[in-house]
Amino acid sequence: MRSRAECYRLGSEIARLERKIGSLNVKDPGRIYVAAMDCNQPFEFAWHVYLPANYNSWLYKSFGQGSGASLVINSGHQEFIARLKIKVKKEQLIVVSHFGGGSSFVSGNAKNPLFKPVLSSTTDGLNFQCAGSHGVESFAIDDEVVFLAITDTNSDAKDNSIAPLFIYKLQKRTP
Amino acid sequence: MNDSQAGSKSTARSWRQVSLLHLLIATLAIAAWTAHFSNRYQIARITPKYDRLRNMARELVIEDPSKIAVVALNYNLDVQECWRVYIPCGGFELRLATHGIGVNGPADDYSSVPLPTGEYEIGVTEIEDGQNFRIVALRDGSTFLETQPLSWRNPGSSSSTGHAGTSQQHDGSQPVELLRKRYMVQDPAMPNTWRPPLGPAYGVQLWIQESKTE
Repeated sequence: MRSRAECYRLGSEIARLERKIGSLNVKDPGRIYVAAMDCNQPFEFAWHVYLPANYNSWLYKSFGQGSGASLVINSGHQEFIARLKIKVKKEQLIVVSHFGGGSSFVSGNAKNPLFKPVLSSTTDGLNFQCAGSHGVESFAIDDEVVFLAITDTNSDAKDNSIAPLFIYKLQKRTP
Repeated sequence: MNDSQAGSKSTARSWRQVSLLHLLIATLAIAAWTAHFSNRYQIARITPKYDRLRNMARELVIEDPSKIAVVALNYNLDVQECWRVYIPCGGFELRLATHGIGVNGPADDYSSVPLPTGEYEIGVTEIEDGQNFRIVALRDGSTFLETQPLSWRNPGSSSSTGHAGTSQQHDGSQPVELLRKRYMVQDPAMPNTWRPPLGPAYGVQLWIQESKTE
């Protein structure tokens, strides 16, 4: 009876946690899986991420003059919650992020086109492309995974030559 | 029907009755054991998934309310580091050091504040306010422990160790280290080169320890 109760308790806890952070249902362990999570804040983002074993990559963050890249090295497969927040602090636009075991930030100045929208917490005139926002998305390891791209609504127009205002993406590291 | 015939018939019937009863008991026992083993198998199968999800969600697990519980959080991006803690009765304090931080053990010179019993978030952040540079510890987002303006600045690079992202419990007999961040120093032999300090360093060390009773 006790084992039945324990089994039931674990099952309910798993269901509760999956409601909280989502479930990726990894069918092919050699692919990348991403599902966006709801943060309820205009410039705060989170993703449930699965990376396959031996997948080494560069994680790029870039907005205009401020950009950075960090190396992500995986020996075994990894499943984690990645988080990113764009905020204004003392006349500076700052992007703070946690990805796997590492955290980093990049900053830009007040002339950045994202400065005012972030300062006033308004998303009007901005277009957000967010990986996994319509459910779990899977990618081949050679694919570029764009976690987040923010573009100006007016300049979006499906024109790939226009640089996004901000981009956060993962790209396989080539030896 | 004579007596011996009646006796043998009754014996045969009671043998059959006992045997059916045994069969029923055996069936119930097998069903119970099968269910038990099936549940044990299911528990063994889903426990790793439960642990993995619980670690990812960074939930604080308090199995023994007489012990301290700590989990490092990664969802509060407004502070540099953040932990969810549970502090039991018994008199514990939060200690913060900004210099003399070695590779091991707590620093000798520190500020401290008593930790109330209960569950809450502790964060730490660096504040640069004009000429002043301070380290501030927060409890549920409010300033809890603050240094005086420091004579040094964050040089931009450091090496850090801290509490794991997996919820752990500690009996409190030893200091529970939340963060040990040691700022790099400039190498006098190689200009513009930073290296880890050899001795005690400037930085941020934050830990929970039993309050002094003297």
